[in-house]
Amino acid sequence: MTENQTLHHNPIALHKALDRIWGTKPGWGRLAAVNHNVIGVRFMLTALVFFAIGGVLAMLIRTQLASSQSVFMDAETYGQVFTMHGTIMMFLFAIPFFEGMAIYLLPKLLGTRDLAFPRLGAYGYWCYLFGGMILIGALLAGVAPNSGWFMYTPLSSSVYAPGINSDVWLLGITFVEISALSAAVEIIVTIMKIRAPGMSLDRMPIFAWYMLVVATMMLIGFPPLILGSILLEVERAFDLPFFDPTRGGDPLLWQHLFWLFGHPEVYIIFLPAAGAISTILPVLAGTPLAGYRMIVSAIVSMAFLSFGLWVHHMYTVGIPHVALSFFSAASALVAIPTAIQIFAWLATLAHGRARFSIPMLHIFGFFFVFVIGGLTGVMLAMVPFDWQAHDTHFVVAHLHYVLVGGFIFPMLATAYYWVPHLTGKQPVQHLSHAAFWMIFIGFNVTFFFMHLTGLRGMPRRIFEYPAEFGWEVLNFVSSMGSFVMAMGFALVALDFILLFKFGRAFRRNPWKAGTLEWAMPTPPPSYNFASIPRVDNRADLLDPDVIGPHLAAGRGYLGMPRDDRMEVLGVNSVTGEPEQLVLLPRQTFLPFWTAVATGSFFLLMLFKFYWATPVALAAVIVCFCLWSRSSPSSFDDDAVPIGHGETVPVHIRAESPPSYLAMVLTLVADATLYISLLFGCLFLWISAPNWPPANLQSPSLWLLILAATSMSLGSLGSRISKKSAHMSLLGNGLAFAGHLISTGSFISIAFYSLPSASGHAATASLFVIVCYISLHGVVGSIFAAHALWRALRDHDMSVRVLDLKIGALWHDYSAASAFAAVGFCLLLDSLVRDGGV
Amino acid sequence: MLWGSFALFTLVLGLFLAAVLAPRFGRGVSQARWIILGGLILPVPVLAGLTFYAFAQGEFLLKGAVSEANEVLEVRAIGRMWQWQFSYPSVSGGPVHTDILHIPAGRTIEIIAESEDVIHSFWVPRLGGKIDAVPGHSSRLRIRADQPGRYGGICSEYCGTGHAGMQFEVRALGQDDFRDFLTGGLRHD
Amino acid sequence: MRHPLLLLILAFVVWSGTFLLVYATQATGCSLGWHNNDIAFWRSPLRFILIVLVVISFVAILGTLAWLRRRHKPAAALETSTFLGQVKTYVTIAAIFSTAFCFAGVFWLTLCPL
Ligand code: HEM
Ligand SMILES: [Cu+2]
Ligand SMILES: [Cu+2]
Repeated sequence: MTENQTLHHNPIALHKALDRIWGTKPGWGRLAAVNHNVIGVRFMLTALVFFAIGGVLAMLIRTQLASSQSVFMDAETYGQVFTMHGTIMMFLFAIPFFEGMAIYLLPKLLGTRDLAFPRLGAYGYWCYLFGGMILIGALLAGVAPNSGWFMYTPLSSSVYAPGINSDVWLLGITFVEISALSAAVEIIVTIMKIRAPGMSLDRMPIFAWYMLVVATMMLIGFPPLILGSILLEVERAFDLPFFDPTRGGDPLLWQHLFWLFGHPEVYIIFLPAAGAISTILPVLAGTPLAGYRMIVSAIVSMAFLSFGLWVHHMYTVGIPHVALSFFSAASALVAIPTAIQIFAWLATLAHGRARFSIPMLHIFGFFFVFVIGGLTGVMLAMVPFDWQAHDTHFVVAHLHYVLVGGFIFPMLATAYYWVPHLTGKQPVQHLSHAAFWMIFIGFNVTFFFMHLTGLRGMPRRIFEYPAEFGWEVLNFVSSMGSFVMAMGFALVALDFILLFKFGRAFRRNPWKAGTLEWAMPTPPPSYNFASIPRVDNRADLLDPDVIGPHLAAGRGYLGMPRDDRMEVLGVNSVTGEPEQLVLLPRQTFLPFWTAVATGSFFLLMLFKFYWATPVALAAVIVCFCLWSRSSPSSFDDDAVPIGHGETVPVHIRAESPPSYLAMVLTLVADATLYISLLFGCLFLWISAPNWPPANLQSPSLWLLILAATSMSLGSLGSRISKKSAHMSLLGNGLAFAGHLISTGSFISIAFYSLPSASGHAATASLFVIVCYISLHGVVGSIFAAHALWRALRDHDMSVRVLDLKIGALWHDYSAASAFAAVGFCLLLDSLVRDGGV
Repeated sequence: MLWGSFALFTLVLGLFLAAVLAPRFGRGVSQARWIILGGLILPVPVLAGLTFYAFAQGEFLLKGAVSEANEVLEVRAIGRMWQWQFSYPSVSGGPVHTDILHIPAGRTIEIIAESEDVIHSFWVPRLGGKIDAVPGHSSRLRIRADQPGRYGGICSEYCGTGHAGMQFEVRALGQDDFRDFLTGGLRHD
Repeated sequence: MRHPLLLLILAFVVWSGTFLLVYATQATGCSLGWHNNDIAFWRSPLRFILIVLVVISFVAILGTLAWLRRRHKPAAALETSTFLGQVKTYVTIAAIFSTAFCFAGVFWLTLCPL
């Protein structure tokens, strides 16, 4: 304990001082909230509202199918209803819900005060909310998407779906996915850099490992979907024929891009739930989690394997057997890491003494339902079986066993376990048992019989069926089951309302857990910990009852509010030793306004005011430029004391600040999108009919070389600019000019040298690739211009180094991708000419 | 597969209940051994066996239980919103029918599925296998009806509002009847 | 490539690369008709190429294991680096097994559409 923190050894005074800094302001100030407690809860509540809407749609489906020739809905309405049910459940409920949970829990489990980028979290939330509202608005207006949650083209193309239904999906979901990507970056950076001191990788709470893996999967998994959506939207809006077989496109390209995202998605949903179980179950069993290392290895392997099985959704499109075998084998393999986790949990239970409680009941539900789902999954992974069961109600049953078993039951367990933390009240527990059994029994009645319906040949997505097919009794039973289940969910809701109203308050740590989130008052204060702990054991084997009061009295790190700053510690990603003092940005309306600007872009696209979209884009860019301005700006020169006699530099002067890592991760996602694009074009060359194109004059070689080399001036400039303040002007000027020239040449290639992009998928591909590079040029020139402006205003190099380093990453990436684009143009040209098929 | 799954399910659930309800159960086995036995020793052989069996089975189905290509009869199935049209490319001037597919019983048929608009999928549940008709591609599937008779078929890829009604019928005929059919002798009933 | 977490996933990165390469080669080969012009000692050149690719990748991934073992030097406190070392070994072994298992089909399954 050093100098100025003796002030606040009184916990109450410390609390008041910190809350004034970290707390969200009332009234309109709520729109400026950036605190992870607020944002996390908002994510979860919004997701629950969407769950309710999706659930109502499910009830409509079951009502329709209860009898054979039901007149309740017509085919068009039914199409919208099942599409929206699937879409809402996957994109607007499951993913945002666990994001919210992670946003709320991670900083607490990691022993820190907030996430690495609070404003990014807030921006993600608004994107999610606005995007979701677009979809719900379309549902109410009767123009909801109607080609199934995986939007197979050509059914979703402008020829067969001329209305705005498909645009709603493509644009709305892409808008929502911004929040998934931003959450992924934020979660990874937080887990890597913002932990309690002493928390080395081997001491991380297991949930953090799970979320690290999940967020990385999101970073790689979402770009293909976003790319697919962009290409399909571009086809619909501007007639670039990526998926149109008459002009060298291929509907199968969409399926590859979609499922390259879609299958990992299932694991992205399951793993956070498994992480929650790995956290809760040992507490309830009263013994440490078995096989920590095995579990970490298993989930890492699972993450990779889950990217190698997307084609198992496409077994019936006529792909050769040997190719199917890779995916089939990977699908079987991915069951092994799951088995490892299941047996690790069983081992934990066997070595502990299980306390029977409501969360435990739901964990039982999870085991029961998920194991069945896993077994039917292995059956479906077998090609011959899938040829029979594909696209029947057997698959519908399977996917609900996996999703409800692997997500809903664990989340109910999670809710019963952590809601006391969130509210500071303990449940009343009159309804909890009944609610569980209704959901459990209702679920199994609904979906177990659906396996049989499917095996008897009932395809999915049909709104009526002839009575003589003998599917009616089974369907009726399923529908009855689903109503029981719905009542069960209503009881759960009531149960929680009762808890809010009548729950008893408790002291610390009701479950006798060993994790840090219980080492704080409940409900948690905005800043989580009055001071930050040092961790000297695995972070799920701690004693919150001792740590809590110690931290509340300000005896940990940073127990001294200073200069109204929001401070957390940044640590070495491996050893967990403190390296930097990270200053977080304060409450601001910027994320809100940026999301509004982003939303206006999507709405303009949706209503086809294409000419106005550049204005919206400019607004988005201006907003983002303002973000950098409001970053904390008064910087201490040297190392700053953080308590316990230790000092560290402020993050802008640190070796590896969080924002640098964030930029690396952003580029990883960006590169994934780009690589998918390049592979996608090659795929068209191999697979699509009507190749080669009649006239592919490729752009002039000199123009291509000029474009790429001028882009590399950016890289060069950024290297020069790090040398000194004067060189900085020169270097960034060079970079700025390079980007502009390059963008100009790429744009002229796109619009003047290439034949019309709507003529053939080959030219359309080149056009999109060139546009992609131009976009990078534009952003690069903004980076350079910003750096120039700062160099002119402010001569202290040391505060600008971070910006320059981040800019350099961007410049290098742009240059590399520009050269790749040129190489690709030449490659495609030669393939089409010589290797013509 | 069904019984195997049932056995595995009972095993896992049984272990779960025993571990929760019986305090002493499973304590004698070390945690590492639990994980290795259940997470590796149990699933690896099962999955490996199943996968390779499925490969062999898949090869068999793919070839449609014939060795010589000339034994199969090709049928072109063109899907369009919302009907199927069947024709016989190897029989010049052969019959063309909508929503009724005539095949000889006891002979392997190769379906060539194509589409004129969106993706459809050819499926006759009792004859096994299904194949998507993707516009721009023609994909193939071999099926076989051992007995003469009628088999219901249904489109199994969502293809718009008429999807539920996109049904058809397969009529497997005896050798002689089928020959009559090809030459236009067989009347519809 | 120095961050221990990157070393941890190295073997699976090799697996992913193999996956892409083998799948892309198979598709390209079928579309260019490499599967049915006989060459002297093998029924189909495409199958031959695929087998060579798979074998090379398998050797490469075994090499990864060996390399990781050799360069294993403690990066942090003892506990942390034994932890990382052990997880790395498990994950690498899983990747080796996956390589052998996933690509076994190239030896006999039907290569191209009928
Ligand atoms: C609350 C109870 C639920 C019921 C009664 C229910 C019922 C159904 C039914 C009957 C279908 C088939 C529609 C058809 O093919 O005609 C369906 C499809 C689907 N469900 Fe659910 N569901 C429920 C919960 C969920 C949950 C929690 C999720 C995901 C987290 C989910 C995801 C899906 C998806 C992705 C589809 C496919 C939609 C499509 O075919 O486009 N469902 N659901
Ligand atoms: Cu899948
Ligand atoms: Cu159809």
